[in-house]
Amino acid sequence: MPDALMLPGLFGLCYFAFAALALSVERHWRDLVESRRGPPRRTVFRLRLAALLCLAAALSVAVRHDGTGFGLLLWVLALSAAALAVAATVTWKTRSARGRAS
Amino acid sequence: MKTAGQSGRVEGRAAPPRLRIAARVTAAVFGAYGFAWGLAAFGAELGALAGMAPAEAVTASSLLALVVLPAASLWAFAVPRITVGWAVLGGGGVLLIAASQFAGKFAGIVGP
Amino acid sequence: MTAKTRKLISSALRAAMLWPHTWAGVTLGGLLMLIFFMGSLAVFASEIDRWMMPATRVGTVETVPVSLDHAVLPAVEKLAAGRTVRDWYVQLPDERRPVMALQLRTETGNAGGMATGDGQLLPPVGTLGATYFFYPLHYSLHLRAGFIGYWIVCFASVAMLAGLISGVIIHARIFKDFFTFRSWGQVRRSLLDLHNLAGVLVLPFHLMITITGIVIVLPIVLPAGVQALYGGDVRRFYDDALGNYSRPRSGIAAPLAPLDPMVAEARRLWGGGEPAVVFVYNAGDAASVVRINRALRDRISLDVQPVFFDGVTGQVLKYQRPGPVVATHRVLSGLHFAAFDHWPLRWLYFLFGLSGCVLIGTGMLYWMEKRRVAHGVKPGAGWRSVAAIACGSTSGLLIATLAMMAANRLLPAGIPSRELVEVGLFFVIWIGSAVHAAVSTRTDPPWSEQCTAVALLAAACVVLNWITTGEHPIRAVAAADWAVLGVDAVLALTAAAAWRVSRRLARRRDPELSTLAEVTDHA
Repeated sequence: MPDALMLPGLFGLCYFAFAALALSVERHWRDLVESRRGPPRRTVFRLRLAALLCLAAALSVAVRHDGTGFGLLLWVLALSAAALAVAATVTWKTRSARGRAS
Repeated sequence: MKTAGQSGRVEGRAAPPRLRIAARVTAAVFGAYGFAWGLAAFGAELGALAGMAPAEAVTASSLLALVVLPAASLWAFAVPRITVGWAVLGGGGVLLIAASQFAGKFAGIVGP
Repeated sequence: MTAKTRKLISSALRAAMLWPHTWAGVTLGGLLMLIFFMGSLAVFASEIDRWMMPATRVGTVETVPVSLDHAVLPAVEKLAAGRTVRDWYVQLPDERRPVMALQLRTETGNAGGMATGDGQLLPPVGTLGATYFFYPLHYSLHLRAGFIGYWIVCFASVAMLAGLISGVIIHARIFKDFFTFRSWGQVRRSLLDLHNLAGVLVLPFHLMITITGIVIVLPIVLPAGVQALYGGDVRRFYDDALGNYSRPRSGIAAPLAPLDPMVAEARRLWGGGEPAVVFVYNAGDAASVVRINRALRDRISLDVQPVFFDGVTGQVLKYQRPGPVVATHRVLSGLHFAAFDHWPLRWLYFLFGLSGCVLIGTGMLYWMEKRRVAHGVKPGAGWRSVAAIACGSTSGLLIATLAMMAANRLLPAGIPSRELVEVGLFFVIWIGSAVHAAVSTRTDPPWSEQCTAVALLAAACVVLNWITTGEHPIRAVAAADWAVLGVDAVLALTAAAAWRVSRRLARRRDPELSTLAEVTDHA
C-alpha cells in the first residue's frame, strides 16, 4: 500500500468500525435510523461482524506499515481517535435530526 | 461536612464521621504505599534468591508493586470495615518488609 | 455482557468508589491539569523551542554527520573561554533540532550554549524554552531538591490511575453510553457525557501514559527494591541496570583521544543508528570517560544503548545490554517519552494529552455544577475555591503560557537574566489569573473574560512572531519551516477557538438560567 494512503486508510477503517458499532447501539439507531424500534438482531450481528473485520484490517495495515511495536501503538491510538470522531458525528447527526423534528 | 453527609447518603449509610474518612484516606495513601513497598522489597529479595540478576529482580518487583498500588488504594475505600483494610494493608506491608529483611539475611548467609 | 458486568461490580462497590473518585479529582485536579497540559506541550518541545529561539531556526540539518573533533571540540573550547573544563556533553543536531546544544561544567561554574552543525556558536538564546521550562514543569514542577517534585507528580499520577480505575467502576453504562455526547440541554449532563467520553474512549492512552510516567522514575519514588538489593544506592542500581559507568578523577593530566573514531566504533556496536548525545567526563584527565548515546528515533524503547570509552586510549570500557525485564522497563519508559520519529503518533500524543485535560477539567466542572444545585445560587467558600482552581488551572494556565511566549518575542535580547524574567512573568501572570478567578467568582468563574484574554494573547503571539522575526506563514511554507508554522497554526487555532468560546459564554450571562432553572428536554 502506498505510504500516503496508509494513515487515511487506517483511520477510515477504524472510523467505519466504530460507526457500525454505534449503529448497533439501540439509542443511536433510534436517533439516526428508525425512531420507532431498535435495530433488528440480524442487523446488530452484521454490524458487529463488519466492525470486527474493519478493526482487524486496520491492525494489519498498521502493523504491516509500521512494524509490530509502532503499528500496535498507532492502532490503539487510532481506535481512540476514530471512536471520538464517531461520537462527534453521532452528536452532530442527532442534533440536526432533533432540530428538524422540533 | 456537607460532603461527607452527601456521599454518605449516596452510599446508603449514615454519615461517616471525619475519623472514619481520615482512616480510609490514610490507609489509601500510606497503607497502600507501605504495602507496595513491602511487595517491591520482598519481590526483589525473592527474585535475587531465585537467581535473577539484582537489577532485573528490582525492576520486576517494582513494576508489579506499581500495578498493585492503585488497586490497593481503591480497595481501602471499597473494603466494608476500614479496620480490616488497615490490618491487611498495614499489617501486610509490615509482614512483607520483615520477610524481605529475613530473606536478605538468608541470602547473606547462603550467598557469597 | 452488561448484566455480567453488573454482577461483577456490585452497586455497593460502585457507591464506594464515588467518594475517592470525586475527592481525588477535586483536590488534585488542578495539579493534574498542569501535568497533562505541560506534558502535551512537551510532545512538541523541539518545535516550541524553534519558535521561542529564532536564532536556532537555521534550516534543516545538513546530511553530513557532525564531526566531533572538528566542529564540537572547538565550540567547547570557545564556550570554556580559558577555564578548565571538568565535564561536558553535546546533544548532536537532528531533524527536529538543527543545532547542537552544549553544556559544560568548569572549575568555576557551568556554561552552556548552542552551535550550528559546523561548530559556529550562536548568541545566547535568552530563554529556557519548552525543553528547559515547560517540560521540567511537567515531570518535576521545577522542584529539584530531594526529588520533591517527582514525589508530588507521582503521587498525583497514582491518584489519576485510581481515578481512572474507579471511574470505569462507577460508570454504569459504559457500552450503552459509549458514543453518547448530548451537547444540548442541561450543562451538567453535557459535562458528564463529555467526561465519560474522554474517560472511556481515550482510556487506553490515559492508563498507558499515567503508568509509564511513574515507571520512568520508579526507582526514585518506590526505592524499596533498591533499598533491599543495592543498599539504597540508586546510582549503583542504574549503573547495573542500564549499563552506566563512572570513575573518579585521577588528578593526572592526559590528552583526549580523537572522538570521531569512538563514534564509528559505537555505530559498529549498535549495528547502525546515529549518535545523539556525547558526554566527556573528567575531561583532560587520565581517568576521562567518553559516553556515546544512541538516537531514539527509530524505536519505541528508551534504551539509549550507551557505549563507554576510555578517553585517553579510546578503548571500549563498557557496553552492556540490559536484561529482559529492564528492557521491558525501557520500552514502557519510551512509550511515555515519545522520543521516536513518528509524526502521526506525535500528534495523537498531543491531542490525547489534551483530552486528559478535558477529562480532568470536565470532572471539576461537573462537580461544580452538581454542587451548585445542592447549594442554590449562593456558593460557599469551598465551592468558590474549587472554581478558582479550576479556572486558574485551565484558562489561567493557558494565559500564563501564552503570556510567556508573547514576552519571549517582546523582551529585548540584551536584558540581564532574560530567561528568568520570562519564567517570572509566567508565574506572576499565572498567580494573577488565579487570584482574578478567585476574586471575581460570584456565581461563575470569569470564564468569558479569561477566554478573551487567551484569544487575544494567542493571536498576539502569532503576530509578534511575524513582526519580530519576519517569519509569516507563507515564508515559513517556502522555507519548509514546519516547526514554526505548526506552532503558529496551533496558536491561531487556539485564538479562534477561545474567541468563539468567550463570545458564546458572554451571550450566556445568566448562570442560574442555564444550569438551574431551565427545564431540559429528556434524553
